[in-house]
Amino acid sequence: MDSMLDLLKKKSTYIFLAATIFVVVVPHFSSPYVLRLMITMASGIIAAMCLNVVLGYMGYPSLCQNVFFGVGAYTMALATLRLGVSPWTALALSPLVTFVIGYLAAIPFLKLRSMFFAIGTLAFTGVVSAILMNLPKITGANAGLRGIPRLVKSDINFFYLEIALILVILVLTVLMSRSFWGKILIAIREDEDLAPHFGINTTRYKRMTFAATSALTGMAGAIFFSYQTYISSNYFTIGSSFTALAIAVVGGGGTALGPIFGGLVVVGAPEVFRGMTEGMTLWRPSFVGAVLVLVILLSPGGVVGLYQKLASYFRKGGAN
Amino acid sequence: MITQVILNAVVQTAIYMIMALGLTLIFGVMKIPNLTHGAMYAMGAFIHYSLIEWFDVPFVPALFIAAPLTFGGGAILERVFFRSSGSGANPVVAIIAGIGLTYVLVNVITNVWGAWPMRIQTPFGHVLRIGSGAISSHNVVTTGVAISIAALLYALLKWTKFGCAIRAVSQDREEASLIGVNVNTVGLVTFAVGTMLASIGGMFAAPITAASPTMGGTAETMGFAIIILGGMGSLGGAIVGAFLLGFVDVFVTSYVSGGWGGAVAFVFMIVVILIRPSGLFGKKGRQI
Repeated sequence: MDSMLDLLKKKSTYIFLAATIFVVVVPHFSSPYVLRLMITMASGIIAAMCLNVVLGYMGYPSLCQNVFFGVGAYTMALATLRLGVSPWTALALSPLVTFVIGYLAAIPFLKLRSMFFAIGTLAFTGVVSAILMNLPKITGANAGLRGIPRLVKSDINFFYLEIALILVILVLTVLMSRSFWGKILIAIREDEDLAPHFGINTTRYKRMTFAATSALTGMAGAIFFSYQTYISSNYFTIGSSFTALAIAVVGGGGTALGPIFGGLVVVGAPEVFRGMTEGMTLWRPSFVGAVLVLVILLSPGGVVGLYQKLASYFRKGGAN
Repeated sequence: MITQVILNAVVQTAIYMIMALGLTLIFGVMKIPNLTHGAMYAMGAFIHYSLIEWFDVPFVPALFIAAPLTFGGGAILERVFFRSSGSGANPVVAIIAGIGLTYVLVNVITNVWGAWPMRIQTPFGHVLRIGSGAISSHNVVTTGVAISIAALLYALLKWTKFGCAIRAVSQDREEASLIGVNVNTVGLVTFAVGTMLASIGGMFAAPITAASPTMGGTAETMGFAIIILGGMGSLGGAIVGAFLLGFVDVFVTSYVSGGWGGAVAFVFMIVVILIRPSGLFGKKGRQI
C-alpha cells in the first residue's frame, strides 16, 4: 500500500501518465504528415535507445547502428518478397538475423576501444552501404524494393507497434541497469582492463550486449520499412548512422529516458524550421546543425543533463 | 593496362595521403576524430574555385591564397568548438559537434556555390606518356605536392622546436604542459594545419573528380580507414596506409567493378585491425 502512495506522490508518475495519454490520443488527431513524422521519430528513438546501452552503459560509441536497422529491414523485405514468408514471421526472423550479424560484427570491432571503435564501425557502415549498392539483383540498390507487405493496416497501429517496442526496450534497459549485467557493463565502461581481474569475462558480455541491442534495432528497422513498404540503399549511406548517435548523445548518454528527448530534439528540430519562408528553407540543414552543436556544447550531458543542471540551479537559488 | 592502373593508384594514394596526414596529425595531438575534415576538404576546393572564377586569380597563386584562408578557418574551428581543455576533451562531444558543423558547412557550400558538381580547370593539362600508360601533369603535380607535404611535416616534427612541442603533447598532454609547452597553442596550430591539409587535398582533387558539396564524405571515411590501418596518430602509418588503401581501391575499381573499390579497402582495413587492433604502426599504448 505504501508503495502505491509513494507512486502517487512522485512527479514521474504524472509525467508517465501524461505521456501515455499523449501517445494514445494524439495520433488520432494528427495529420498523416505529423503521424509519419512521429513514426520516423519513434524508430529513431528505438535505434538510439539500443545504441544508448552500448554507448552510455558500456562506453562504446558505435557508428553502425543504422546497419542493424538496415539488416532487420532487408530481412523483412527479402523474406516477404523473395521467400514469400508472412510479414509477422519476417518480423520474428529479423531480430534473429540481426543478432547473428551483430555478434559477428562484435568479434572484430569490440577489440577496438573508444574512438578507434567509432571509426571502425563507421568503416563497417561503409562496407555494408557498398554491398547494398552493388548487389542490385538482391537488394534493389538505389532503385530499391517496392511492395513490402504491411504488418498492420493503419498507420496509427504502426505507431503503437513502435511505442510498444520502445516500452519493451525501456523496461529491459531499466532491468538491465539494475541487474548484475548492467553493473558489469558499467565496470567495463569505467575500467575495462581492471574488470577481468574480478573474474568477469568482459568479451562475452560485450559481444552479447552488442548483439542483443542490434537485434532490437533490427526489429525496429523491420517495422519501419514494413510501414513504408519501400526500401532502397539510399537510406543506408555512410553518414546515416550519425543520426542514432546524435539522438543518443543529445538526449543524454547513459540515461534510460535520454534517447526519447534526443529524438524529439534531433528529429523534431528540422520540422520547426520547415514552416519558414523559401529563402530560409535553403538554410534548414544549417539550423539543424547549429541546434546539434549548441545542445552538445552547452551541455555534454545532453538534454537530460541540461534539465538536471537547471533543476539543481533553481534548487540552489531557492535555498538562498 | 597494368601501367595505367598503377599510375591511377599513385595519384589516388597522393590525394588520400594529403587527407590522412591532416587527420592523423589532429588525432595525435587532440585525441579526437575530426569529423569536419571532409567538409573542409570540399570548402577548400570551392574557395579555390571562386578565387579562380570570380577574381581571375591563376590556379597556382589561388592555392597560396586559399590555403591560408582554410588555415584560419581551422584555427577558428579549434578555438570555438574543439579546444582540448574545453569541449574537445570528450571525443563523443567532438564527434557530435563535428556532425553538426558538417551539416552547416555543407549547407553553406550548397547555398553559395550550388549542389551540382563543378569541374575546375587546371593549368597542368599536358598529358605525359609512360610506357603504355598516360598521366596528366596535374596528377604528377598532385603526387609531388603530397610527397613534399609528407617531407615538410616530417622535417617540422623532427627538427623544429615547435615540432618537438607537438610530439610532446601527442605523447603526454599533461607532462608537456608541465614542462612549459603551451598546449593550447599547439592544439590550435595542429588543428589549423590539419584543416589546411584537408583543403589542399580538396583543391587538388577537384580538377580530377569535380567539386561537389558532399565530395568530402567518402574522402573523409577513407582517410579514417587509412589512419586506423596505419595506426592513429602515426605519420608513417598514414603514408603506408594511404598507399595500401589507395592501391587496393584503384585495383579493385579497375579489375572488378567501380562500386567495390571503397568496400574492399574497408574490408582490408577490418582484417588488419582484427590481427593488430592498434594498426600497423600504432603503439599498444596508443589504444585509448
